Amino acid sequence: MNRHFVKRLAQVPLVMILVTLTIFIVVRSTPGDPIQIMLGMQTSPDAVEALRKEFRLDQPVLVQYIYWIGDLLRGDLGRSIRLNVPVSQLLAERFPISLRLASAAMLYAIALSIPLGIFAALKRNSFIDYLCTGFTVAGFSIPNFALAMILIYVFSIQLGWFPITGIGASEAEGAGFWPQISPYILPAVALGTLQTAVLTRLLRSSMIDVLSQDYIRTARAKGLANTTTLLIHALKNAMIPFVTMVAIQFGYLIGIQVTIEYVFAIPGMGSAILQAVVTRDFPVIQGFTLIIATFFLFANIVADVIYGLLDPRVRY
Amino acid sequence: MALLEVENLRTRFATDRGVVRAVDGVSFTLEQGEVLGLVGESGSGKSVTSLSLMRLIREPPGKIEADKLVFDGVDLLKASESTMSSLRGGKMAMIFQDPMRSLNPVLTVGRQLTETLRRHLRLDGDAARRRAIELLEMVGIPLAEKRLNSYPHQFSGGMRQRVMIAIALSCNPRLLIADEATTALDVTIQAQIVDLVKRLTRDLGTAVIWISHDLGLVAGLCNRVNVMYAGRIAETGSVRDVFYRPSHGYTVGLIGCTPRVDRVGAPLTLIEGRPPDLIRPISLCPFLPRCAVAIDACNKTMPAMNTIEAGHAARCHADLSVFHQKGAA
Repeated sequence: MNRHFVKRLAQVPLVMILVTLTIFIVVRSTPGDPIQIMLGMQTSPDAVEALRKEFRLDQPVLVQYIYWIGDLLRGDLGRSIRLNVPVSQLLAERFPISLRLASAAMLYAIALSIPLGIFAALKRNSFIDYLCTGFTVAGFSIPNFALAMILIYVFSIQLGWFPITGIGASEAEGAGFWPQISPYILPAVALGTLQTAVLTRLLRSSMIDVLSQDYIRTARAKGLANTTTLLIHALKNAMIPFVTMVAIQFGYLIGIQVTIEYVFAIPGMGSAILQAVVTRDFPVIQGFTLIIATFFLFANIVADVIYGLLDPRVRY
Repeated sequence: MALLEVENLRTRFATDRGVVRAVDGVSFTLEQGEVLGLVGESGSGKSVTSLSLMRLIREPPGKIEADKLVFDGVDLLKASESTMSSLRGGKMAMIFQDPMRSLNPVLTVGRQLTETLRRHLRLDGDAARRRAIELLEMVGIPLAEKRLNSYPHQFSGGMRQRVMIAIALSCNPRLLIADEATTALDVTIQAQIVDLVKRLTRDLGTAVIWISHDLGLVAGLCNRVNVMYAGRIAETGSVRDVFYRPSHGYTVGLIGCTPRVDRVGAPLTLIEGRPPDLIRPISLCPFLPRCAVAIDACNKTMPAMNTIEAGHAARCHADLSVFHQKGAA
């Protein structure tokens, strides 16, 4: 286990080099000049040139890349061209919000998919199972922004249960528990429903597979209570792929929030990246994408480690 | 009083194609401490018979019916699910064919042993642990105390089957059902496992139903044997009767296709064809299409269970005395 973990960690630098290179090339090959976009067409060429120099945009691309990597190694993500603040400061404002939203969405997905998956597997081809299948198909097919609109209409406008916006709003800071978490509920549901569908389907199929295994028959032949057979003997096996998938999906959730952020006016990472792309704010795009990629990479490593912990047969 | 009385056991499964009569009218009794062999090819209803006794058939799609199904004074047909689950693993235990797959891969061997002890003998954590060590030593697992914390994949196939036996015998059952318990093991390990079961059940006075398609093994282990075909008992009798004076066409065929050390070089006969589809109703002897010794009567009526001698009966029209070994009577 430990050796495998070390091996996985050793791969990180190589992956990171590829990640930074890809990000850099993709970002720099998009047409459009950040300085020109920011200053507009009426500016004097001298001013443009001065700014280009300040942000080292006059250098060859490879040199720019080396400068960027050098800065990264010193822990400097650079400055936003448009906002003229450090990227790290932007990140400090926005990453916690994205992380909280992703966690809320994941929590919702886990809490719903475990009972749904188990019931669907136990009552295969029953009404509950069909209901569950219907839910997962809907979860897979409804785009999250459309679901967000429906949720807002029903729960905010008609029922008035939850606020439409409010994440990151200054008045919520220091307020009670409910004003702090209530703005997260609808976005989390809208964002996490796809993951709920993925996880429910996974748990249902792995549970069905496990329930047909010989060791479940053994457990029943030992006269164990049904709940013991189910929750200890079956679920412990069925949870192995499930938990692994949770970790992978969590890494994914950080990166796909942008539409949800727009619908609910959430000042998260997604909207910041989109804004940065529109204005070709290279340091921001690069920095944020790098953080998301890193997060995804580590979520995968964590998934791997958890897999090894849960399944005693896995010894790398 | 007999330990187990089975009368006209019928187990069916509803499938998309129709009702499969997996067990169709099986009757036998088992005395305390008796070792009964259940022999037959795949699909002959051996395993379904034993799973029916434990009521481990899923209902639906399965359906267990019988005129009588009494184990140790308990009517298994009327017993509640909670009565059944206290019998299972307690008074009646079972070991299965594939020890690679019948132990839970993510639970330690200790956990899988002690949970039965806690469930049936109400032992607490410490006592269960001590008893588990004793049991592992009893089935011949070295360093038992250390091995409690091991997972099944850290054991070899034979060791795993020993663990299964330890689990099955942990609560001193009255009946042990061994369903092809040695089929997945290699020959030397087979012999060890058979010896182990033989010794332990004799010491504990446990009755055994040994299910196998291996005639030689059954011959060496059992007092009595039931030969099963197409969900019915084709022939029943003591091991000597059935092997030396086979009285059913199927038994003759089975014996003919078993290699024997005393007949090295003798050709093995082959039973042509396949067992019948159990969805179709059976009106003649189900073995008839494959039978090498069929007579005219076989095409007319279904043979009844004919007593050949005391304790030896077969469901066959033909006179098979030519196959009987001289001097064996």
